[in-house]
Amino acid sequence: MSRKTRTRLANLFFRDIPIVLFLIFMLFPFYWILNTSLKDSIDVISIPIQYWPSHPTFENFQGLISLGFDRYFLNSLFVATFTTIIIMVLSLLGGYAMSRYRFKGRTVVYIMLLATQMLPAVVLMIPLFQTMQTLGLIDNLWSLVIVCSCTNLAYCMLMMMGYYNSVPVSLEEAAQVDGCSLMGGIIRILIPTMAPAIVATGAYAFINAWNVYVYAVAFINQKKMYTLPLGLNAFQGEFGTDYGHLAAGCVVALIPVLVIFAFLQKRMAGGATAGAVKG
Amino acid sequence: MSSIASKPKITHRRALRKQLTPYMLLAPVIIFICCFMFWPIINVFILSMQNHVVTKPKQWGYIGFANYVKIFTKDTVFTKTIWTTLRWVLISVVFQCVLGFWLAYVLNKKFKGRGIARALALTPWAVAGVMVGIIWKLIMGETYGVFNDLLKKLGIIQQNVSWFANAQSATFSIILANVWRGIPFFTLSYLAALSSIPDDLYESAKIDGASAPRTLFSITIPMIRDTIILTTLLRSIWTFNAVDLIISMTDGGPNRGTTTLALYIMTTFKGKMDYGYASALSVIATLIMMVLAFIYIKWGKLGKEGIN
Repeated sequence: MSRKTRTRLANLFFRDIPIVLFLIFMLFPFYWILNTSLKDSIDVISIPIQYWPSHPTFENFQGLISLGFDRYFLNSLFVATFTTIIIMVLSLLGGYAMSRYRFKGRTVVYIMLLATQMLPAVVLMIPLFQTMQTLGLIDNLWSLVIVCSCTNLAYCMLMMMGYYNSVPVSLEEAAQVDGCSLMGGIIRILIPTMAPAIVATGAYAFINAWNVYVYAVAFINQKKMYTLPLGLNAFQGEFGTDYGHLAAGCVVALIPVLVIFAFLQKRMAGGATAGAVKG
Repeated sequence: MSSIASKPKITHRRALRKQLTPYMLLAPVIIFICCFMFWPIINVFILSMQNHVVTKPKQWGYIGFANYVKIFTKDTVFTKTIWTTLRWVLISVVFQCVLGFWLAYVLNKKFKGRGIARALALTPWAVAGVMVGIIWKLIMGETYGVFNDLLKKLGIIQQNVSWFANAQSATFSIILANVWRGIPFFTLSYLAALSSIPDDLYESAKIDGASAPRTLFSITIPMIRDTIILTTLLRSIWTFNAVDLIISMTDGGPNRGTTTLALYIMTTFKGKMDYGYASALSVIATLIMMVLAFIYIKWGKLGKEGIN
């Protein structure tokens, strides 16, 4: 066997075949949910199983509106949007402080941030439920905005810190010499330079807020305040075998996050772990 | 004259301002986190010492460690959930870590269409736990599920398997779904870590005639050790936490066979509305996790070079 065929074979077995198998495993569930959502109510429970919808139809998607999914969608959008805004502002400021200053208590703050990552939602859920009761925010989407902001803040800030670290200090120093204030320097110089990274942080926050479930179960009881995960799970409980609508609901809930994820994935690159480990 | 005298004062003030800046920038974050994350943790501890069943307000009050005593002496569900949780976290994370590393390793090689392959392979990361559960439940359904159909076509099984009928196969199902969802997190982290390893290390290994597996175990893995430890730790905590996937897939059944400690807390809180008992359970959960995390960080010698 010549050397060339040997490297070719090695590439085939150690690179190409694993990649193809991985891709099939990772993507097939998406294909399947889309396939199911396009089947009509007869095809969805026909044997043999159809790997391709024989009568593709959008009727499942049309049916979602009368099932209240438009409301769930808007609720999720509300929570995710406001969470993203709060997190972006706070982590832009906090990340700057962590990256650019060596101050007393920096390590404490750092450990505190990491510690918040270890607090499980099921543990926080109980006392936070009481807090929200006191604040009168039960069945109010702001309760979810506040809690999602808190739980994702640490990760986003560490992500942002990593991005600041990768921008040379000389950039802002030059701006400050030219008479820019601190905020002016951040807004005019740093933010444009880091725009893609900032978008990635926002995307991360958006996806997590969009997907929040445990807190939503704890704080939201009224059906009209349901977010998509709550609505989907409730629908599954009620109409468990209505696979077509269930799948269509999943597809609709997936589209925004998958679009946003396309922006995120290139930039995320390990996020806090990379930022944390490399400092 | 006065202008000269006031000059040191101004620089002094400026220095002070510069010192205070980081605290001011961080203040909102710290206040937020203290109010909504650390204060609740203290609260949950207080609540765990109380009898607080929402439906029985007459019996509310301080009861000391009675909830804890009950958990450790009478609660057979608790002991069962501990084992379920261990199995769930350990198997999930091991498979996610190994497969995630493998995927990162192959995606780190240069080939045409690598960007697209990366983006596509990582998408499950963005899917909500509830939806992961729903999608996989659909796939693994007994009669209409495609999983059984594929296995039959491959000749692995002859008859449809009812995956959610007993605890063992139900556990397998939720772990499979969770592995699917968890691989991208590891792959993302390892891709970043792999790209930070300097190329000359590989070059010199090649010159020394090291084989590919040798390079993998003597260079690649040791170089990204910190990342491995941190990712497995975080993922273990998140997996412990991942009740949404289990709720939508098996709801803890059959016969509580897939009820993890987190899910048990959830049902005690939401179903039985026993806030005191649920708090006590969650304090125990936190303690277990803290101890394990601490041992793990020490044992793994995380961040030996320290953060800077």
